[in-house]
Amino acid sequence: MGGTTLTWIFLILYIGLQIKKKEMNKVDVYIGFILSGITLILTCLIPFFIGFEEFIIFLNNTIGRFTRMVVTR
Amino acid sequence: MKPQISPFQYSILIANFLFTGTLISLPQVLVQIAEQNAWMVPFISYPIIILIIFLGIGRSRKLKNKISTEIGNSSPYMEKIFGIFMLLFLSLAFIRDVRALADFVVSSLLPSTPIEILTVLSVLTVIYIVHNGLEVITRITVIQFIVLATVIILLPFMLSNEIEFNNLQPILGSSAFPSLFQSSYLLIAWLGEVVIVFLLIPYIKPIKHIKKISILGALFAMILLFILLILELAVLGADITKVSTFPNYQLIQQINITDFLDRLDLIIVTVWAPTLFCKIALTLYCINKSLSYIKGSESSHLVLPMGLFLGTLAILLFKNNIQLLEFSFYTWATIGLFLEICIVGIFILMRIKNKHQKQKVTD
Repeated sequence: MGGTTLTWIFLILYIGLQIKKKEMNKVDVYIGFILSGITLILTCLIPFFIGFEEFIIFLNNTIGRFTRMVVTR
Repeated sequence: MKPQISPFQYSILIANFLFTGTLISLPQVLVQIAEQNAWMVPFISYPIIILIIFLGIGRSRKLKNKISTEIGNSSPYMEKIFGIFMLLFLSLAFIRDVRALADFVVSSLLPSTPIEILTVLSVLTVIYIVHNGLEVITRITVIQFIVLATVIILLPFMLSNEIEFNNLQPILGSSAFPSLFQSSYLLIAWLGEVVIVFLLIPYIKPIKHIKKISILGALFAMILLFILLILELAVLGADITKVSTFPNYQLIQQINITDFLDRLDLIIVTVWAPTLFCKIALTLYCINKSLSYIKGSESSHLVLPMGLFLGTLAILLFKNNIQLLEFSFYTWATIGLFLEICIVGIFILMRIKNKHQKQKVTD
């Protein structure tokens, strides 16, 4: 839970400061807020132990297996 | 003001970038495949770095006039494609390194600390470093890397009482060559990370001997890796190294100078960890630079959300250390190599297009 809280604090501070300062151009604001939003949602998954390991398992079972075939005698 | 780094600082950046990532667990798989001959692997893979540097940088004389990697110098489409490939490549490297660092700390130093806390704190430290710019990253790297390099150069003396040369025999048996090349295949993607030089070119001043210093920096990294590999084989032996998750950590645990100077491992880890932070910081800096290629304008406003986003992915993508090791050893070898080839290819195309544009302007 600590990791999630820390991330939330820093992202909310970041969003607040960017809104207050108004230094960013439109594209940066767009990308920055989308990234922050996705991160805030993703961090909510951490305490519930919901991960995306299926993606890495898929990569390991396809590309990783190919590499194994290359390097195994 | 545009940051500037000297050729010496640049060569140290390259050496640190290539060396520190391979330190954590990679020797295990290299020894698993090449056994007692694994110490030759860095030198077999080294020509690949030279090839990437020669292909990518081209003729230094032309770079001196105008640098092709500055945003807005080449076709916008090419720059965007280059940025996307670089972003994907560096993001994967960032996620892998952050998770590897957190896993190492959890496994060896702080077993009761949650991995997400370590990851988030590491990422926040890295964000703070990156926020201060390339010059700060470079200066920290130079200080830390010189200390680390000194420690590694001194390691053969510190471990002299533990070295068993019999562990290195037989040297080059009948089946050694195929296994050496197989082992090199796994190392190439890690060394191919030298493609990062394409993003650093605009900041080096003077740019005159860029190829030479890139090659020297990479050579220094290879020599350090060679020292570690040969020591692991001579001290631990191939049988222990190939089953050890953190062989270098196990190696430095063997240091015992007289009866009271042991447990130097913690001191050496405190020297090594900052260099890995520097590597991750440089990766994040280059991720931000790649984003700039995609957006078409430079800014450092996206470092924090990007860093935290990738840090969160580093927690969520791997269930345990085994998945990370599988990814780092086997999956990264092919994905990394593919992305590196694409990046070099696109970079060459950018250079050619840039050259044609300039010729048109002069005509």
